[in-house]
Amino acid sequence: MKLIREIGHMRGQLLAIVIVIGSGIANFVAFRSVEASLVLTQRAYYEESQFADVFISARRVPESVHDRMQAIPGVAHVETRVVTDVMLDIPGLNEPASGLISSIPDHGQPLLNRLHVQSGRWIRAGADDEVIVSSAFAEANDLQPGDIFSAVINGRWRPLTIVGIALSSEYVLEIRPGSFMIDNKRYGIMWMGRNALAAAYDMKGAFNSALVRLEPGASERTVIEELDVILKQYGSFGAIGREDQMSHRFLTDEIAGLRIQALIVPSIFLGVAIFLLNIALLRLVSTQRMYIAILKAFGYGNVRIALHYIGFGIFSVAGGTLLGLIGGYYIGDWLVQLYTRFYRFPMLRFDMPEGVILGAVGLSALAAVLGAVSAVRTALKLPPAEAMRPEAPRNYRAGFVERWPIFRRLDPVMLMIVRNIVRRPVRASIGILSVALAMSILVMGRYMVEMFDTILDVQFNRAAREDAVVTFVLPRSASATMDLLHLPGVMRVEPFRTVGVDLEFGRHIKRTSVTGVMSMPDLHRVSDMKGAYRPVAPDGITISAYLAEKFGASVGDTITVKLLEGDRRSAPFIIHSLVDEIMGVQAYMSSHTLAHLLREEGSLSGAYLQVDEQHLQEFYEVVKRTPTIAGVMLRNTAIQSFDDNYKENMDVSSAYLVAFAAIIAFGVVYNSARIALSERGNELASLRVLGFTRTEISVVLLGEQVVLMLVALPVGMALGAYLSSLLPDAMATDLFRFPFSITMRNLGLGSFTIIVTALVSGFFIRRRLQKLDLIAVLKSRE
Amino acid sequence: MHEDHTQRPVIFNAQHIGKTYTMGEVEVVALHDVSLTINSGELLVILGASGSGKSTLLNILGGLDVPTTGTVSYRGQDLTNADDKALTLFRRKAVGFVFQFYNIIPSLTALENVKLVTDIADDPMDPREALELVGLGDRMSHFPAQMSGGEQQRVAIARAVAKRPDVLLCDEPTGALDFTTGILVLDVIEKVHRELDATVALITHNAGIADMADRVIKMRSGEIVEELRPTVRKMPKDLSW
Repeated sequence: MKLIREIGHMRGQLLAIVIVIGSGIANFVAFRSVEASLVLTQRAYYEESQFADVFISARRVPESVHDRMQAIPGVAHVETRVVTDVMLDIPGLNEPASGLISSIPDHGQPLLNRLHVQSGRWIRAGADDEVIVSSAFAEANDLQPGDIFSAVINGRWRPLTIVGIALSSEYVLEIRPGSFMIDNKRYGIMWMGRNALAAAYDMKGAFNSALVRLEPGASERTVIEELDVILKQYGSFGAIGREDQMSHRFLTDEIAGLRIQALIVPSIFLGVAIFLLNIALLRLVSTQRMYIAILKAFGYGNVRIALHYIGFGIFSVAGGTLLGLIGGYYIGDWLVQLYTRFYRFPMLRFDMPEGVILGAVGLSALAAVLGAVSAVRTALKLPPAEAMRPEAPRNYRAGFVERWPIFRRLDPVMLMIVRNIVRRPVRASIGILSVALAMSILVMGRYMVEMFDTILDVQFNRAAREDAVVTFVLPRSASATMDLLHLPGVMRVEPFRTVGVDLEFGRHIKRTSVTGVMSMPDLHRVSDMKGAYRPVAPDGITISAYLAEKFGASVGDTITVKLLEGDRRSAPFIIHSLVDEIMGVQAYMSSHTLAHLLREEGSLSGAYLQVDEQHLQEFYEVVKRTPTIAGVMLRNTAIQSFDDNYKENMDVSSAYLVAFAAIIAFGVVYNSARIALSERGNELASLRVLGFTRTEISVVLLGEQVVLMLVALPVGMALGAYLSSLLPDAMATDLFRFPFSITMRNLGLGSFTIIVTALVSGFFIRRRLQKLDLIAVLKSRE
Repeated sequence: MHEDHTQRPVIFNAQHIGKTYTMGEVEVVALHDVSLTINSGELLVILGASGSGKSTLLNILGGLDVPTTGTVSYRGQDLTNADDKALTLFRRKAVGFVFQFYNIIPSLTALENVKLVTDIADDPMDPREALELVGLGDRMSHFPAQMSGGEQQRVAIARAVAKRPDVLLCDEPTGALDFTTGILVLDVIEKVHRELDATVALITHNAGIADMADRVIKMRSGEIVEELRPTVRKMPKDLSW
């Protein structure tokens, strides 16, 4: 009964604690559950679809080599297939789309990377006009089984009929190679019968792609080495493991990210909750000295008293836990919805595993006990006789504050504020730290948003300024440049040559590509993270700074470049410079140097184009019908797809972080002020009696919070900037690196949010000050 | 020995005031039809047991509370219907309070506690002067926790008088003090009364203190039961209880 009354009495403070705990638990539950759901779903999906371990692509390999591959020790299954890039003309879509067609056996599911057919049927054996398309692509373009679109199949436009819609474990995330943005509208995966596709691409009795599943315990590295040896003579582009497979890599990175979030975010919330509970309970014990003394005098044991306060802690976190479980369920469900927009699984259902629920309850209980422990200790240490007497007057003495000359000039009200803070240095520090933490969360969140803007700016306004990039099916001779220049609307052409290589340094090896670039590029320029142009020297090689760091190599070192095409020669190159790029782990040479290495004369893999906007439509039409072009990427559509896919998410996650920080800031400021009000109610009432106005005593009470805030904001800025500076390294992968900068706007927005939150809590406290009972206070001694 | 204050202006005029508190479902009558005037410069002692309504009366006179029925005015200004703002201003300008539990700010030194009030007063004394008046000239930079109860109460008195209040209201100023210290504090109150010509209303349950008054009002159960003027006004050092 007493417990319930006390809880009713402290409901404002408890509500704040409940919300903070609830937020922590909600985040824990949501992230852990989604992570668990993704891990389980991924595992089950990979198993069910027999997802391959090794992925091979080559120019043309006779089918007979299949058996040699199968015979490699450690190889369980080999699935050969024909895979090709295609240009597409989708009804209702102006610009050309592109995609990837992969072959499937005419008579049913492949052995590896089986499809999950959602609707429609399998292709008819031998049909050369039937395809199954990926569900993401179908959905984005509103395609149904029975719909027809055209594709350039080996140089000829061919109408294709969609017979089925399917999912593949190989393309859980469909992302165009070399792009960092998902654009399901303009890039899609589709599957066609092996015979028909092989016939169209002169691949009868041969394959250009293969999947390998390893036996349990087999060494991926060894198998890849053996495969490379066998396939070398067939123009292999090199085998890669799951690690380097795009879809798997993205998904795995995402899961790892969730795991980190499930650790960090709830820790912050629960840490703050423990602090709030701690100060609230300590205050409760000090107002209940008499009660504790009476219980002790009546012979109640320490255990009973300890249980009372721990019970109080547990009771107050129980509400938060319940709130968190419910909130976590909805957040998790929403996250899953978000994931299913990009990551396609046959079934991804949000599930709250019992383990996660138990974990959440355990964490809350732990927070309750940790929050109650010092209050319990204080209550237990209280000798009954002494506890019967009122608490001794708070012992203020002249301290270091008085030694500062500036404080001698402060008026008594400011002195009260400063002494109250200085007298409780630990509590003040934790309060400052909590608000600073909230501030740092805002700074980090804003940094991420601004970073994306920077990436867009660097990528599209500084580095890749071309309107379109075309890539050829096979490298073409220099004359292709002229052909491109004759396309409608094309004003400028910058050819490039890209070739797959293994870069070797000491015992390190990295499979990537080298691009040969023009000496004075104007459209597409190798640029660092800040968008500064980094010219590629006429000789030597320029590699990614990220790779150099991984290799332990630096400028002046010699690196071995091993071609994955043609005669697969190796040649040493001196690292001429490093470039700190945002995307990928590429290497660059001057076009001349690369041509020399390849023993070619100015051939190109594709080109960057500047296209007159007026003629864009005609340009699209012609490109769609040019068989030698394997793909085209358009600047406008890339920016558009960013807006479609990411903008909303970015906005939502920003709002999420703001709410997150606001809850912490509100909880801390409100609780600190409430405690201060409870501790200094007498002082404040005395001041009122002496003729101080309500506004004047609000200054005394809230001034303390203002001072704490003034300290917390810069600390939060510094903390936020520091934590943000760790993010680029922590998030860096082979696919992406991130620029770092903290703007004044970022710090300003963060401060604004915290200050508004503090003002709101101040408003609630001020309402309580109106109700201060002057007379009751004068009669009590405490 | 006695000055006749009845010739001086009336500063407080309370007519038929009553005060009823509602505590849960029980109505408690704290004051019942009390009428009283206080003249300028008077030292009035209100005597009564606990629960007699004397504190309620003092709180109403001091602008901390308003009566449920009846009227009360201070120098012609109506306090009955005054809003919080007006009462705050009244306390700030005219009243000095001294309470049983001192109610001084623990985080401020003696001097700072006094300065707190002189900073917001129109025509204050020098805070040091106020402390010297109560005999604490050498304890100015001490914090409350470093002072005895009597010293703390004297800081409270210095704080109350430093703004040169028209009226000093003391609620059981010696209630928490031993005899010797109590006498010391009463001596200070008497000195302030005399030297500053302040009107003093002092409430106590201690009949011994009544001997220092110009006029004594005895209260019981929310009513005034007796009023008397001691023929001989004793100095505090001559009091005993």
